[in-house]
Amino acid sequence: MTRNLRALAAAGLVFMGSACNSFLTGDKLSNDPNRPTSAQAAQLFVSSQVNAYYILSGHAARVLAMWSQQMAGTDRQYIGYDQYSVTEGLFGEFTSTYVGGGVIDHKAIQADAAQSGNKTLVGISKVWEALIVSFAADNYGDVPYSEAGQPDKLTPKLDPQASVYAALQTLLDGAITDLSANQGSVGTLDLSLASNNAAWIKVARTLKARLYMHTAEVNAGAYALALAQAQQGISSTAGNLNTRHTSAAGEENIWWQFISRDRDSYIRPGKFLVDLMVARNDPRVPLYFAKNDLGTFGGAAPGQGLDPDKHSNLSDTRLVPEFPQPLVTYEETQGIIAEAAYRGGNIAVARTAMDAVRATAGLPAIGATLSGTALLQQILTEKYIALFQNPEVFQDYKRTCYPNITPATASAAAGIPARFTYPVAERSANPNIPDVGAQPKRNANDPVTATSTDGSACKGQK
Amino acid sequence: MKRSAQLVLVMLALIAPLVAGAQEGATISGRVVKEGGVPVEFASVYLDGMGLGAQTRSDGGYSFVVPAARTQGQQARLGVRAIGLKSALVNITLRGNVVQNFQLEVNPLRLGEVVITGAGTQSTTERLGVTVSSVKADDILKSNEANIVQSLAAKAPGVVVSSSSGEPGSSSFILIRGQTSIEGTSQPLFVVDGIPVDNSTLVTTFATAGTTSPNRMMDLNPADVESVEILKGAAAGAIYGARAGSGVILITTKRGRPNTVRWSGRSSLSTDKVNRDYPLQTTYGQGSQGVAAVCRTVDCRLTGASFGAKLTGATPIYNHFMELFERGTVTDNSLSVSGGTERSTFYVSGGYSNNQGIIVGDKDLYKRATALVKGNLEVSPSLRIGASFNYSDSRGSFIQKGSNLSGLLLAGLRTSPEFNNTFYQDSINRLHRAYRYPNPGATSLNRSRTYDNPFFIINEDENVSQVGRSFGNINADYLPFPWLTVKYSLGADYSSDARIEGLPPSNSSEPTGQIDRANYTISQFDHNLTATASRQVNPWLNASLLAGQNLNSRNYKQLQVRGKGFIAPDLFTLANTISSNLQPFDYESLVHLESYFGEAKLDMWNQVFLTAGVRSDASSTFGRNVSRNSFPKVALAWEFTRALGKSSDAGLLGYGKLRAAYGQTGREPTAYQVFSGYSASGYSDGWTTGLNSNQNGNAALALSGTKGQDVLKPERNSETEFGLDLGLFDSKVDLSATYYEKKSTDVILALPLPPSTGFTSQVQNAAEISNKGFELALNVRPVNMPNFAWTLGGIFARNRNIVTSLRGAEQFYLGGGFVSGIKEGFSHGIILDYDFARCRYTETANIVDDIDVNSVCKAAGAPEGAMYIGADGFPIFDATQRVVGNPEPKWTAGVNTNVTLYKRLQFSALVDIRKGGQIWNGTKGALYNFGAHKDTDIRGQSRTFGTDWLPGETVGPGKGKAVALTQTSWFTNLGSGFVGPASQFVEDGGFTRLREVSLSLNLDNNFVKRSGFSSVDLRLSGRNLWLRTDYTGIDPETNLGGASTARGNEYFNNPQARSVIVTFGFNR
Repeated sequence: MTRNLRALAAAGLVFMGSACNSFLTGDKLSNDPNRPTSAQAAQLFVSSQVNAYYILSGHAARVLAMWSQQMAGTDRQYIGYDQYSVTEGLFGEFTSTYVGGGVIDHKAIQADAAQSGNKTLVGISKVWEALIVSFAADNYGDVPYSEAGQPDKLTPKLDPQASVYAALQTLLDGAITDLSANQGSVGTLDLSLASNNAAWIKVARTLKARLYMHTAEVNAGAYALALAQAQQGISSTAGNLNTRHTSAAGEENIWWQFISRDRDSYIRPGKFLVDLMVARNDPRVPLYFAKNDLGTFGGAAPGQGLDPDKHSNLSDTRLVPEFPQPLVTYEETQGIIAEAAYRGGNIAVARTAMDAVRATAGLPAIGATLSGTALLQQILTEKYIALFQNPEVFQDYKRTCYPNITPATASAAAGIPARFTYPVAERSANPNIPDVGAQPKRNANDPVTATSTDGSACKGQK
Repeated sequence: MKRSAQLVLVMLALIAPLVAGAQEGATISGRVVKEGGVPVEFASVYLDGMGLGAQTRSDGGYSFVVPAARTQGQQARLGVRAIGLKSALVNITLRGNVVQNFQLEVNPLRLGEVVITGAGTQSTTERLGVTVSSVKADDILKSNEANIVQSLAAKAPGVVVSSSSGEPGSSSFILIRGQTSIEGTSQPLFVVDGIPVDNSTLVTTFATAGTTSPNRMMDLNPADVESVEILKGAAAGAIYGARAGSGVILITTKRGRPNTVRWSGRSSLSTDKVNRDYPLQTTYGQGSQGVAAVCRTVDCRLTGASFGAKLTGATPIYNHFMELFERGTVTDNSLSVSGGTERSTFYVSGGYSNNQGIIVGDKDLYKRATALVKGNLEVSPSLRIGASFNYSDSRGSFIQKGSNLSGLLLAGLRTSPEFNNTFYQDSINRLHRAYRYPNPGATSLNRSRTYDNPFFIINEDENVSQVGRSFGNINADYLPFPWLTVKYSLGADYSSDARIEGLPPSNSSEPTGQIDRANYTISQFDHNLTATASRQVNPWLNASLLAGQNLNSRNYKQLQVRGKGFIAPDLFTLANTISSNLQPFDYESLVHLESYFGEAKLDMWNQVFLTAGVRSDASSTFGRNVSRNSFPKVALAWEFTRALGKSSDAGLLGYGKLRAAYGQTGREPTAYQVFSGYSASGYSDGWTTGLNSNQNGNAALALSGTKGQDVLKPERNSETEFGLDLGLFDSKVDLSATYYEKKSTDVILALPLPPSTGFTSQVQNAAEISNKGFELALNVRPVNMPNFAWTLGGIFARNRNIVTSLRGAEQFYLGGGFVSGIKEGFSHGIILDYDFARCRYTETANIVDDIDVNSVCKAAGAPEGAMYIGADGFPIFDATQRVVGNPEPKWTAGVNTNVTLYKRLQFSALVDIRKGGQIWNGTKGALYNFGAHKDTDIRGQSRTFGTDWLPGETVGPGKGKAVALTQTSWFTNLGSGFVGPASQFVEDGGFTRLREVSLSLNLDNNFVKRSGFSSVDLRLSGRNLWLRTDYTGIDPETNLGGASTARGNEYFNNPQARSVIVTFGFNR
């Protein structure tokens, strides 16, 4: 009896628990309790705008502002970047263009919004997509696009830069059509332009003009296309596409975050720009710059450490958490009109547009007094100053070599870099990306400009 | 619920048969003595195969009763085992009163001693076909470490232990036979008294910044530990299946012994100091280009560089390293009471240690109170039950470190030599002043100081942790039949860690003030049931068979909220921040593991021992298309000296054993790695704090970069080991050698996808890693006389790790470091960064800045690796990422010695040697940039690359050209850690360290006995007293990421300490 009981007990112990077939499944076991597995188009849309703010006014924008000598690196790695010491590991903007918040989410937003009939959202999303993808094409040249963000394409091919620009023109045309339908709204989800369809259409037009300008160095006919689009583009500074920031944590201007909070001594206004503006007594000097410790305005030359006695910081106007960073503007639109009209021989339109740029800063009209190369130089100078901190300034430089800035280091025999190296993340996982040594020095839209618009040899393009 | 009802039923069923009364049986008694008739206390006397026995009393006597139901006058084998003595086995007849005395011989080879082998299994030393390294209580106590993990340093070959810093409560990292995982933990499974327990090291903010943090095994008082067994290989660990991928550490806590009540107390006082100075220049002051920085205005901001004017003799200068440190102290007190009767024992202990660290001020500390209660009861001869409960309360306060504008050494070491950091408050407005912000204005409370003043960090920051931890178990051993043993344990482990990491206003990381408040709750339940049947099949064959089941549940909960913008400047609560700035982060994971295992053992001719087994695991973390995974093992040990006719271990070759084993272990995927999802984690470019995804009150989500994966298996190690154990020269020498080859497959990797796909990675069982190595342990007892004994021991281990496949992915960076990565064909955790242009004949295209370096090299006949010097006399930067260093040591070794005089006076020492293993000295690279490092004294002087600067072969047009190394030409240019390649800051991190040395005196004379004690001991010991290394940084043992997989990173880590300790102990 005892023996049997014992055997039973032993058997009971051994089989104990084997009855539980649900031990491995259930809430928190079969699902991730921490992350949602689906998202609405509206939610993706908010996020995608923030992503675009970072792509267009973050690290890459700072580096381009240094290379166009509007800013200068004054501490540690930024001294190196200012002197073109950049590696393929440096820019996360490429990745951000495609992953969550980028192209893959824009595709989802557009599909979802199209299904629900919100053509306004479709259109706005397309403009943002065009903005970030064109930024990639501007700086990397050939980029993945036609095969990007598709589940079955694990190694998207590189599309030639020209075809990316062409695809973006088509995308923007689609955006204009969608926005013109005036179906649906995104209300306050639209952080920058408050769901104003008319304003968005104008932004799309200016952006189209910008992209035509980017191809103009290899296709002179593009100036006329640019002019036509720009003339339908942003018609006042009220229609500018700016980033939106507030003083709330996590909503602050990125330049402010970089300088005032996170990397105080790394960057200051560039000597070239400050000197240029001080020399012409530009009323924007105190709006752009603060005084240095000696009470004057001064910029940093490339490769110097920070010297508060000499170097101005950004002004209290711009260096605040709330400052909206301009991305696509009326000033740019007028600048494009001026230059494109000039290139097309329409001097009167060029003069008016240039004076319109000056008028935004309260500067008197001088167009009537200028003609020939002097007029073109003045147009480019006005755009160079008016688009302060905008990465578009560097694209203009690549096309015109004006202002004819002196490269940062004498040893930079290769000149100012004309493109970013593909990031290592993409290169190492995508066999379509050439090795660093095999990548082109310049993009297809940007042959070496041997002679600057000022008529002398271009110092920075080799 | 259903489950616990089941449990109760079964327990009842278990107890029921015991109620049946016992009749008169046989009484077995006797006395156990050793050489010279000295009684042996705590020897286990047992009836082989019957599960009956007793322990000897202090006079060596024992006695126990065999129930009548089990005595039929049969023959039985009576055995005795005692630590340090040889076991004995005699035949007796079970009838009436049996008196059996034993005299045991000393057992330096520890043959016959029981070794715990995990999951309820055990073996004896000679039967093991695998290597199990044991560390005993005495060696743990001698290390004087508060952290049981750190006390294992240099104790076992193939087990590398590194402490992350010398601060109180800082974590230790342990690596057994090399790295085998990329995404998963490299830390072994810790099992205390049969129950798996948590040893995580949680980082509140960043591994590379923030503060140090404890590994959770610090909650165990080392004074309560009886022994530690380290299961190194896969064959040994296979019984823990998918949890044993990094090895297993089995800890057995002390228990009561029958018959006596024993009091044991120990009290120690340690004085700690920082163990090395740091080389800083004191010749030049703050400024740039030789011009002193001058503060002209209130709230001025100055350059951080010390490239200013030469300081005159009249200017006071400061040692910005040593001024941060003071004498630290540790007091450690523990008391235990243990004892019991023949049938019940108890052990109760309490301990309190208080470590006031070496950093100036009283904000680096770690206090721990522990209590352990343990009881065992022999309910009947066939049922023993036990329970133990361990509680600890630990409170720590830490100092910010690492890559952190508010980090102690980052701020301290960069300070210009003439700035007096100790006055960290403005004399009038009491606001924070720092060398880059020396003149704070009255309204500057919410402004960054660029870098904090280190004394502000020390005095004003608030980084605290308070942990309550309890773990324990109930267990039962039941012997329903003489041939069957059933063991059950049910254990739980629970810890709650409440942390604050707070930086008050005017700190440079978040000038308005920032507080991170975090609560971590970690719990684990473990159910383990085994049944072992054993049988003597015939005189030369014993067999046993084990079947077991394990159910394990682990839950992790994190609630963390960050607040910014302090209302009152010195109050570290979330309520004291602007509420719109609160950023919550909460996370939870639950993992269930269901396992079955079996093991068969054969003992043949008393010399061949074969073990074979398998464990089958199913985990909730496996992909949904993956079911169970099995981990087999087989181990063979052959005591060949028996075949040679040896029956004792005397003689030249007294004992010899050959062993071979093969086994597999695994590592579960991390919870929820298989799912893809959306997140609102925000955006940053890596240089700024970033933007939230949610803006303007709008909810936002973005697709996560990691693509889901339905097919995810555990990582798997397959390991073969061969070994030889010898006892030589009348057991005066023992030697153990092991060779192993471990292949890790299905290693989980977030395999990068091209970002243009919309995803950055997808987890895959993709990588393969190989570890091969050998281990030697040698112990020599040249003198073993009653009044003079001397032992000398050495361990040596070498491991070669190679990442053999990354499934086409080129390289990865490891989290927790700056420059640590993985690359196919290289060792795990190599330093991945940039180098100068060099001759690289193995690389086809070696074009740097349009120069075909290889053809220049070939023309000049330069050797591989020669550095290219441009026409200007400087090397040039090569913008291709490469492997520039390897932190894996070439070999590791430990040497220990012990001299005992008159059984009372003991001297012992332990030297820890690590040969090779490179470290990225990021601190130096940064201090070059700031002109603060001692090496920058040569600024402005001429140097020639390849000869007196970065010596080595050179090539190129500028070869041999002397150039002036100035601030701009070199130190903030290619010679800067921020601009130039990291390769120039990679150094050999090998060291020889006197880890432990001690002198102790044990007294048990009449005077002591009259005072009421049985013995008293006094010990004077030192820890880390001496260090020899070529490494020029803080200490080769420190690691930026703490106990992270990324090793060999130094970037303003907090330093190591050395200690002198006085200990007083008593027993009664």
